[in-house]
Amino acid sequence: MRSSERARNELMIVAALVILGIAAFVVGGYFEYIMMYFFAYSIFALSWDLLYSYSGQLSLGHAIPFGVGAFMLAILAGMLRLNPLASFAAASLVAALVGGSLGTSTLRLRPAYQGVALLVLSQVLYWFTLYRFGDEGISFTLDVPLWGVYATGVATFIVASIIVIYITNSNIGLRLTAIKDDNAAAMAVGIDVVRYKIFVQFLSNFIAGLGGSFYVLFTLDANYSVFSITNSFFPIAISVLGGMGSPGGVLIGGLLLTALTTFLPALTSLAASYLIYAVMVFIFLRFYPRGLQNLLSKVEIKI
Amino acid sequence: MHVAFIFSLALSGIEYGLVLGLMAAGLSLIYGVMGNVNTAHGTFYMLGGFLLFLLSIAGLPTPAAIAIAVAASFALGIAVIFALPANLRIAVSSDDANLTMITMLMLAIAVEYLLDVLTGGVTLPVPSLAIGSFTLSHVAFTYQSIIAAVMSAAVYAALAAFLRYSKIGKAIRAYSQNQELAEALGVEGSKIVALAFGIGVALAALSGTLLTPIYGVNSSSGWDMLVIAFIIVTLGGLGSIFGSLIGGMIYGIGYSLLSYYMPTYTYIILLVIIYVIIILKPTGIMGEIVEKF
Amino acid sequence: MAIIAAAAGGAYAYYNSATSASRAPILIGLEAPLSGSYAPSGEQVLQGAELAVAQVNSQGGVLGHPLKIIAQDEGPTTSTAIQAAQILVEQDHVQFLIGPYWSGDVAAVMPYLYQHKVLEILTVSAVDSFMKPPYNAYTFRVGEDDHQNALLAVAFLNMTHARTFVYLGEDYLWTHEVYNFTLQMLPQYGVSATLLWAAYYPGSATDYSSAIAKIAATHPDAVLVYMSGENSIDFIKQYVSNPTTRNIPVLLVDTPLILPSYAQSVQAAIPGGINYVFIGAPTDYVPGVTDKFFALTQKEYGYSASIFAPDAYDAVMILAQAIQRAGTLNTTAVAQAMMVTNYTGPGGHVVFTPQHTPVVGYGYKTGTIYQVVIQNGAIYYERVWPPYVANFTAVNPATGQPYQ
Repeated sequence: MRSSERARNELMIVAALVILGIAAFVVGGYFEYIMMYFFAYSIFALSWDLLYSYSGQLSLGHAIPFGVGAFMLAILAGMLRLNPLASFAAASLVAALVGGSLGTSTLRLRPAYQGVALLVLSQVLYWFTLYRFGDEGISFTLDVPLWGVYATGVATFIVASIIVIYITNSNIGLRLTAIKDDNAAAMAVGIDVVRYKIFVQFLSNFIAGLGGSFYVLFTLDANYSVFSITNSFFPIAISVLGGMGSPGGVLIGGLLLTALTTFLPALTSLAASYLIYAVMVFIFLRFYPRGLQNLLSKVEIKI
Repeated sequence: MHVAFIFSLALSGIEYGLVLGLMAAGLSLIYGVMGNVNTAHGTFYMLGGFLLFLLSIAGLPTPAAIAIAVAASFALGIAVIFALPANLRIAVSSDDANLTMITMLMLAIAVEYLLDVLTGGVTLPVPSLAIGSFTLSHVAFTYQSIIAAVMSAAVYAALAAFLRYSKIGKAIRAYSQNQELAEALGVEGSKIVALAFGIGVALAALSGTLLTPIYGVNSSSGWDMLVIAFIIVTLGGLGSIFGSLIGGMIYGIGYSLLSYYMPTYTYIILLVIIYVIIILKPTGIMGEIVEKF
Repeated sequence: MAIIAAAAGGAYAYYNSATSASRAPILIGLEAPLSGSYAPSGEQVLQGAELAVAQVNSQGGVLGHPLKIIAQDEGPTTSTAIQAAQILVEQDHVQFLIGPYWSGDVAAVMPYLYQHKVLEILTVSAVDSFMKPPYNAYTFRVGEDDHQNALLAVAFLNMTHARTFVYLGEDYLWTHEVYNFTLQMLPQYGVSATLLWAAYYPGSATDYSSAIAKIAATHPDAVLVYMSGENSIDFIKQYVSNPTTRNIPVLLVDTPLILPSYAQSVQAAIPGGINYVFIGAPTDYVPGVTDKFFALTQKEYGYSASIFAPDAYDAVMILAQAIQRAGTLNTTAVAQAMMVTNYTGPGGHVVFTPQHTPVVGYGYKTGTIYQVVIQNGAIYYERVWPPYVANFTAVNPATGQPYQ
């Protein structure tokens, strides 16, 4: 499938999800919250997939930018009572800076070590925020009406998705894939591998920071568990389910897993819903390594 | 007097570190043949403890239960390898190795939640081999931990001998050092990978059976142990069996002393040190034996 | 066990959707850990509340309506706790909520619940610093309070005539708060014990050998341990294994060791070790009333000792009385009606301070100190404090003789 066709399909998925978001807002109640969780987690997953599938950098600690964004928003908007929108932007930028710098420090490591190094750093932040802010973390109220928060979520979702879809389908995307497949060959062809990798690091961390900041914007609480290992693995699970390397697939995977973890607990027990999540992901990895995207593209061709 | 106390603390740390080092040696072994870090390693530690718990409920005497738990983990490890698609079993590229890591990660998550559902997340009491303790300069040493340390040292020696002298052991080492050459000489990749993986996770399970009686086991024990295993192989060098032994002891001493003087910061300090080591000298203090991708 | 888990999940789903009798029930949300390590404790909260609901409904309900509990699993993280609150408020539209259980989760959901004017009753979380305006306008505490937890320490140090002591706590907000309150309250009660050192350990820690080594080396007259989970069980096993420390009187506050199953596991691991260990329980013993309540829990649920059920029972009763008094479901009016509560139940005598926490002191909420005694292989929890409910004289573990 040619790039522009693929881009078009992916944008259609984004549009469909935005419509779903509006519908959820109209219905109201818990559905609004489910969609807000979706916005936060899906762009978090997009950012991880961008980093891995498009520059070959494996992060097993992607909770770092998510969590930094989360805490920064809580501190700026919650504790210091600064303008929420400005705090949102600032928090994401800080996440980009911190996460991007830490990620860049691991640039020259091969993926296994890189993954471990970032995992280790995420744990440092985990213990540090637990010590500094306690298990109650930072919680606060905002003088922003719910529709304002929701609109921010929708807007952020659209912007982040379009950025990722554009990059992955453009020349930059091609070059990044080349880097992922073979560093040496890419360099031989004249691609400045290091510059591209750093660029993706900062961009990925920025988008993850957007996810984390938005997450706290509607949950109104930032605490140490945002840096947990499970949180670092969640975007990986979503990417696997949806189809690594395919933003459209990642978004659908995000919808599925978000629904699973927010909706099922209301119906059955918490433990059961997490088990289903884990088993699903494992089955997909084993039997459908290209994820949902592959299954869906078969459907699309028929249409 | 104070010196004797510090010494005793360090000794208790070494004892603890020996057992953990065994688990880390398993991780190194797997890295050697597969070229990736076994992200489900902590899960097998947890499995060892969990199986021991189950078998003891079924009425088996503890030593027999430990043997069965370890054997079962070995078999499970082999089964996992053969359940993987061929291109992940023997990774040809860095991408495949990464995918394997992610797959094992998902397996670990699935097992964690399965255990959660089965046990309700409760910390399970695992039977010890021995009860009781003695003190040395105010530091208590339980007989269980001493037995665990001695057994670990023995298993280490056995592992080293196995790798050095046995046919399969030599094949594993040859394969780790030069995959193509070994295959050209008739070593069957799949079988070696499965065996090495099975041994590696069996070592993790053994550590589990020895340490969980002291520390308990629950569904999230796996991740804690994975991080510790990472710390140790970073100190000792990923891929170096002997390095894991040294790394384990360094970790044990460090942890014991730090948690006495600065219990709140213990983990943070250890993790920051590890991060710096990974950045500056990823092949660890002992240096790496194998370069994979 | 998987079947039980699935059945439990199905049961909650069915339970939460089943309709009640004729008149529309008054919904009381309940958030507690219903899965994971703390499920047994969370379930006791639910069970205590259920017993109260059954009692109230059997007497005609409140304002003519039956009460109904809608339970949601607090889950292992603050995120799941927030989600549970969101489900209860956005989907089930509850106006009254019992819980959450964990202080961290309480802090996290308080602003959200305050915005929705949900009346919240805490039965487990003891942290005082939350109970401040504006968020405490709709929040009341019926269970243990950190002043009470500190009072247990003061009473213990007094009882054992300790001149020096050490303080160990899991590293959470409440233990730091109790530490501060204890130091403040010692001179207020005229107890002159000196703190040698204090240390905090991650709640997930299982290895306390360094801590115990330090206790053995510094040899205080008494040890205070504030750990509320399995960590306290790990600690006490290691503590009584050490020949030096096992003779130093230790007070474990808020520990699940109060439950016989845990005591038995310690007894099995270290025979005789648990003899003469002290437990600071956060609930009071009210002669007659508490006994009657535990007879009921024994009949319904098979246990006759519980830290969490009595306060949950009291919470529902106090809420029911306040709603009846207010004559409306409007939470602002009910909150005002709550302030004049003067109630005695299985958890103790509850009167609220202006901060909406229970008054702590003799005749009000004090908690209870037990000493574990093994006789003929059986484990007994003997009450040693407060004096007006004590049925046993505290024995010094080092000498085997009563404290004079």
